[in-house]
Amino acid sequence: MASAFYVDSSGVGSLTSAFRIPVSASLVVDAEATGELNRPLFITRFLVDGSAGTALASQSRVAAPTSFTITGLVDSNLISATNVTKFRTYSELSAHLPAVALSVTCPQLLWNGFESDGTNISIPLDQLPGLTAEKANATTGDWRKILRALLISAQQYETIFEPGSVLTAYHSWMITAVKPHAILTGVARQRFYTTITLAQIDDTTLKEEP
Amino acid sequence: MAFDATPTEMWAGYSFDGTSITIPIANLNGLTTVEAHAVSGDWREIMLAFISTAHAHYTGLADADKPQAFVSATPLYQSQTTGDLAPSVKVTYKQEFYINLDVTDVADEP
Repeated sequence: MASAFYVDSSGVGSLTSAFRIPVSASLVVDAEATGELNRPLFITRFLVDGSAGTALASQSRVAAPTSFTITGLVDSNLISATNVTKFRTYSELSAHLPAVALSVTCPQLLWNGFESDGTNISIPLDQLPGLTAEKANATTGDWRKILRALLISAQQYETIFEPGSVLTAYHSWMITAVKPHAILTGVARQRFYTTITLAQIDDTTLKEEP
Repeated sequence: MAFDATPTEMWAGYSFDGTSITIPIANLNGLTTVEAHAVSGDWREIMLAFISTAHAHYTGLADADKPQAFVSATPLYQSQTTGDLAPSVKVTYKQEFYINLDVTDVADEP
């Protein structure tokens, strides 16, 4: 019988890393408000290791959390979850979960289902906001729309982390999407500023985190 | 010529199977297999590669072939001599998209 992890998300303590949950378990999050719970609860990614297995939920945002349960984990696989909210019993939760904390810079946390075989990278279409099969078509699509979807996905991922969370410690990266500014009737201009810290001016790799 | 939005113009070897987009690592500027690893890699490096590749492609186009609904500005480089990351160089890329408000999509070329 599957065990369950109970998490009360009404208190203090941030759960900002990713954890892998044994497949034999369910994760139960019960957000019984005690007056401190006034923020959305984000369940950002559930990853399944290995090719067999299915991600249970790619992304969900519970605006007014009450409770929810992640069940039906696939045998012989692991599931990883990133949760960015306040948990009073964070230490209790982490004690239950194997400490396999994934870095918040893990590509699969940004794009659920991201794959790399050493030669190519693959990103599922449904992880790229607004991108359709038509726009992604190799010969009739539009690379600008693909790039914009990539930028939006990164910007949305970044903004789910609260000040003081793990990602804000990564000084080497910041992306800002400026709210579209209407310049003509029906047409707006949207700017993305991406600030990256490099070791040298001609470098193509981020500066090591301090 | 005129602007060509075909994805393979940006990333040679790009493909789409109806479910995922696939791009050769070799055609993403500076990206390594280590950085691109699905679990132990770094999405920031992947995004940096996308952004710098797009900028290089844009700047490499003849003026007559550049899109008007997308502009990639010259990156701003700032030397960092103080702070946790010093010494380093902070680079800011600016990419502008002209979008149709009704569909929030990149506008058609005029």
